[in-house]
Amino acid sequence: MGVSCVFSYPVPEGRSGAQVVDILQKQVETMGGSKTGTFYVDCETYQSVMLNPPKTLHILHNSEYPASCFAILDSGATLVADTLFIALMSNLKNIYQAWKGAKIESKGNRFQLADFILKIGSVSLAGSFKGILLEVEYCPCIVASECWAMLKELLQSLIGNIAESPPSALKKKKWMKSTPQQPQCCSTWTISTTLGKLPP
Amino acid sequence: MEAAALAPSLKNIAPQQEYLLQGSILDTHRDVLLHRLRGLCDNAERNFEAFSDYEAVYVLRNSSTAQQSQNQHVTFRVRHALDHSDAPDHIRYLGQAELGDRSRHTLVRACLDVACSSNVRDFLTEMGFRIDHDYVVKGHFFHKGRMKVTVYKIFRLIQPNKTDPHNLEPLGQSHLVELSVVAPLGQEQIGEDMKNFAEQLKPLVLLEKFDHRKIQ
Amino acid sequence: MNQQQDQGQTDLIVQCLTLVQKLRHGVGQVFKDLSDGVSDYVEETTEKEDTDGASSKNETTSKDKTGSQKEVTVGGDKEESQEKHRAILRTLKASLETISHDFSDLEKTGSTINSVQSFSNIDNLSLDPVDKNTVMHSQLLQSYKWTNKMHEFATQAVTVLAQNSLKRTSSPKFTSSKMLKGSMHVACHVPPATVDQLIASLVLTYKDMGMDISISRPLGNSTILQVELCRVLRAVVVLRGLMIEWVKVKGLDETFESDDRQMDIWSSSRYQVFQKITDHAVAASLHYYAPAKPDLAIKSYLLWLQGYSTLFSSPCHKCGRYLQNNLPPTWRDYRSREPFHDVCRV
Repeated sequence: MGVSCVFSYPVPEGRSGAQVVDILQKQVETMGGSKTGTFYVDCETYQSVMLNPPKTLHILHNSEYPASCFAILDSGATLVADTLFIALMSNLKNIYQAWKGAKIESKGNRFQLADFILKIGSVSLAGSFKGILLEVEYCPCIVASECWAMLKELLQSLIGNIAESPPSALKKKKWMKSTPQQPQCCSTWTISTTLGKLPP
Repeated sequence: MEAAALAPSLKNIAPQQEYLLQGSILDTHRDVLLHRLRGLCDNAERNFEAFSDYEAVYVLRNSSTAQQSQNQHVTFRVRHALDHSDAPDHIRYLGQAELGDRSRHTLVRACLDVACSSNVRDFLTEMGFRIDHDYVVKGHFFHKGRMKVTVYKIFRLIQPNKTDPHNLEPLGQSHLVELSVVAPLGQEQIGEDMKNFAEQLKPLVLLEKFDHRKIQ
Repeated sequence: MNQQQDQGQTDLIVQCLTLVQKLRHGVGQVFKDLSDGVSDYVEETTEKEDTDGASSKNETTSKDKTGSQKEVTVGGDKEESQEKHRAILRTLKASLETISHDFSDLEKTGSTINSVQSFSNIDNLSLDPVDKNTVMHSQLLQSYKWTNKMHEFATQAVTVLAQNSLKRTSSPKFTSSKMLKGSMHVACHVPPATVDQLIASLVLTYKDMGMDISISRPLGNSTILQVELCRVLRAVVVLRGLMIEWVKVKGLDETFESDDRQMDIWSSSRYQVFQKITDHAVAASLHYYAPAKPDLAIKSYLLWLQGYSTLFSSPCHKCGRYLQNNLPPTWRDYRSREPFHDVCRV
């Protein structure tokens, strides 16, 4: 659960995404991080047809919760369900249709650094590379504003000034406690930063 | 956890089918049936397993009035256990029932069970679903191998959204009896097994395949 | 009476053993004589027999016989072999007589011995003829070694502890009687009502500081305080009377309940930061130990624990950084409650 933050890391001119990911991973390893597997986050978007008013539904999968999926409506309502929820959506295909070309996914390695979990992943939209995301999670703390300064310190040694200000989603959810029923916060941040920073 | 293992599993969801036989028994003879079932089914040494569920049926219709065809609405059934408050809620989707010809012994319909968090009813409303009707079912549950037998009674809610016992009104003088198996498509052997099991409950209950469209 | 009887028994047994020894010697002699048989090397034989006979003090008769045999053999030359045979037969006869005599003696004495009662299992142990089949022996040895070692350490511990005037144990063996009369005896024998009263007042005091304290007694007389520090951590403090006995710190998303809904005060947090704080909190419980003023001790201990409310949000007082070894400042100064990293404190 913990507090997690997602940043997009710019890819400088003349370098490939894979190179940058490699550099970041080396950096995490020199800080003392150990690789604990891979991670996978993806988001599919569905749009309503002939519903008034029109609605958009995002469905996220996160390898941290391999048997679950998270559904988020544009109104902000969220639902945690079995991965089979996708099959339910196919029964709604007359009303909610998958938005082709809006599937975003992020894949990469997962690192553990004391109580921190770092994930470095390359993001692709409908199969084409779009950028690099870095997710930092601090597990023992559950209030983002409490440990923000600490996260910032860790991030500054890793990605420099990109971590100067907290992501906007974090500011909004300042005092929000995440509970076992609402692990979707972390996914919410993922999607908001993903959609905010990477134009589809 | 492995991303590679996770990704394909999302795409290959085996479609599940429910094989169903239904019947009913008068309240006064229910206990005879329960004892018969206890002897026939697994775990005979245990006490009857009771259940008490709240079920709400949600319907999503197209808001455009031009196409009012029958196929344009989808029904989701949301269930949660009243006697196990910590159990997750369920969405159940049931497809169109196929009766088939005489050679097929049971009714077959697509069936999808998805466990989800307890805010599902609000979420469905946000998605555009509207509540159609709701009720409470109470009864007993047996299983033999993969066959599931339920003997239950349907209760109407006198005031909406209240599931305490005083607010429930029993419907009819009898209990419903259902024999069902949820399995992947194309296992015809199941129908045979179910027919044999149903034979053993005669003449207490006649389990048959009912065409719901005719009842409506 | 019993002792006298025992004494008589022991004497009898000793007597029997001597008789058995004698009997065995006699029988041994017979077999030896038989195996020697009629020998041509008379001198050797006699010499040997002579030395053998001299070595056994009890068998006076056989010694005499061999002496006479020697004379005989030295005397005649013609009747040598015949004489030899006779001598041997005579020796054998005498020996056998001694044996039967000894045997009847033994039988007589033996019949007067009562059967020995076994007193414990350890007696039966010695009766077991097959040592290999029982691991008991090696186990006994092992435990003997351990007991010895423990005794040694305990003696050393007593010497070390004797130099220290502050003691947590109130046993008169380890504390001087002067100490026992003091209030430390009182600190761990406080009626639950008094504890409740004190904690209730503390609950009110610390409520404003973002600290929720709840009290329970699932383990009998010991009081368990569950402390929830505003948005940071959860802790259990186990009290004996008013003495702090056990502290465990965990994260807010962890629980002190085991699977079967029992209180679980043993398991550690899965987070490194709270494992570290648990260590510090245990050390602090010793620092804040004041048997003379137990209420003050608990109060100041909880105040110190309250200092962790800024665990994630305040930098180290010395190095000014938040993270050291990827951990926040996990130590709080006992007086000023200022945050320090584990490695930064002086």
